[in-house]
Amino acid sequence: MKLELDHLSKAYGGQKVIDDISATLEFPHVLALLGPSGGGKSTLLRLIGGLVNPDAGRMTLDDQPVPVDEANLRAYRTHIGTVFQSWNLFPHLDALANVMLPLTAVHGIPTDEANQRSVELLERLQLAPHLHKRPAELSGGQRQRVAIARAVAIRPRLLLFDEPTSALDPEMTAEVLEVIADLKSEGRTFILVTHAMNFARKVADQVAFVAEGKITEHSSAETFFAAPQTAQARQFLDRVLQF
Amino acid sequence: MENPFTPQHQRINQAISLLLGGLLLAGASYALLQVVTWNWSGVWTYREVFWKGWFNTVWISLASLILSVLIGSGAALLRRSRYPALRFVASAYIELIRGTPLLVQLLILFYVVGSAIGLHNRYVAGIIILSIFSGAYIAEMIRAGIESVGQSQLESARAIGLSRLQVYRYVIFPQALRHVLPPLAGQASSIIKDSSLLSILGIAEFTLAAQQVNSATYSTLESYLPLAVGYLALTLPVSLLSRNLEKRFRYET
Repeated sequence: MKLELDHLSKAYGGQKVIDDISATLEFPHVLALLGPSGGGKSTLLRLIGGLVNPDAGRMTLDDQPVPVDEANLRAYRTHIGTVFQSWNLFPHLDALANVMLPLTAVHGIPTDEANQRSVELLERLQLAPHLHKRPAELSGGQRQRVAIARAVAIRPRLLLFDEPTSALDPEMTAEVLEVIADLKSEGRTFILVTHAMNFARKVADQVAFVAEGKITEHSSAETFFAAPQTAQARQFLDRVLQF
Repeated sequence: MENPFTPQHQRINQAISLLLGGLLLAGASYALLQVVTWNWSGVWTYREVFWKGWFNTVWISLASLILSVLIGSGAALLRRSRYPALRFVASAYIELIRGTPLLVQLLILFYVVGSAIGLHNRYVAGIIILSIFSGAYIAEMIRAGIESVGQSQLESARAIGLSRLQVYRYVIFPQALRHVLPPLAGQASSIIKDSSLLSILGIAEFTLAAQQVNSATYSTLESYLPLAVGYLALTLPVSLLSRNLEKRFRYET
């Protein structure tokens, strides 16, 4: 997949969160956005996902421009699966209904087919006993796996993960990271924002380091972790990997 | 969290109960001595009037509840419109209605506006005015319910590609409903009680019926006691339902 960013900018309340980023990022399957908190990773992910509009600049995904008008953005978003830090499941629907909703309401898939596809997927994610539980009755790890199922069920061209394990304890983190690693071996393409550095090192093909609203460097994951080019990235890695 | 209930608290509670019980007994005895002779038979001959009035109150309240939910939903949606002019109209309606007494609205809307537009059916006019009144309160309940749906839910709904209308239908509405239902049940009970004011328009609902029985029999207590009981028979179940809903939805989120 090829992601091109062309003079991309986004400000919130006068604060430049994304500051004139231009870069061409090519990755076979997995791109990790790493960097300090508040550096703009999540905003960049939301821009790529078509959830926020840039103030300036353009993006292309595999040479197709990312639209900026709401009507086309909505169509664009239907082919992208997003998984949020706090899962953002619909609390009034059970696990199965959460996964089925985009299929039936957005993609017009008949109910029984949507049902079958969703059940299969949830069973594959070890959620068979929890199909009819609402999010409040599930553990954090189970919720996040339902959220992953919801994002994967639509067969998206690209998956986006926004700190998918930041709200989870270590054991639940492991169970969710396992699922994400499986997605890679299934050959899915995704962009991952994470603080789980060792996981990023294992799963990412390409790394972009985002700090102070810029992509200060990007390279293959091996190169990035073995020999980061900027002092900032070096310091960051030293600090997060020391423990 | 709560303070423990000590034996001393228990003694104080007993003393308060005793005092209240005594006062109630004394008051009741006094009232009974004043009304030396009950005249239930006089009132009993008019039981048909009571029944009809009570029944009218039930369906007038029901019709007003349905209409006021429609009006309230419309006003709540207008308040969230992207056009400031529409938001202003909705706010003006809500503030005007909530800032004036129902009695005043009945007088103005029936005798001034109603006559001007040629609406002379008292029942239709009464239901419409009561619904306009109640709708302003329901609009605020619905608005609060809609606003209780978090920003992250809306982002998630957008992320899966729902349209604006679908976001309301699949995400906002079902979630707002659980916030709106308990206060709405309370509002239903308010409508039942407020409908008694329709008697001033000459609508033959429960309160007017009791007034008619009273003027025919001159038995005040025997006319108005059943009136209070008749309203309680409607409002107590609604109030229980409201409390029930509140409890159920508290655990589910």
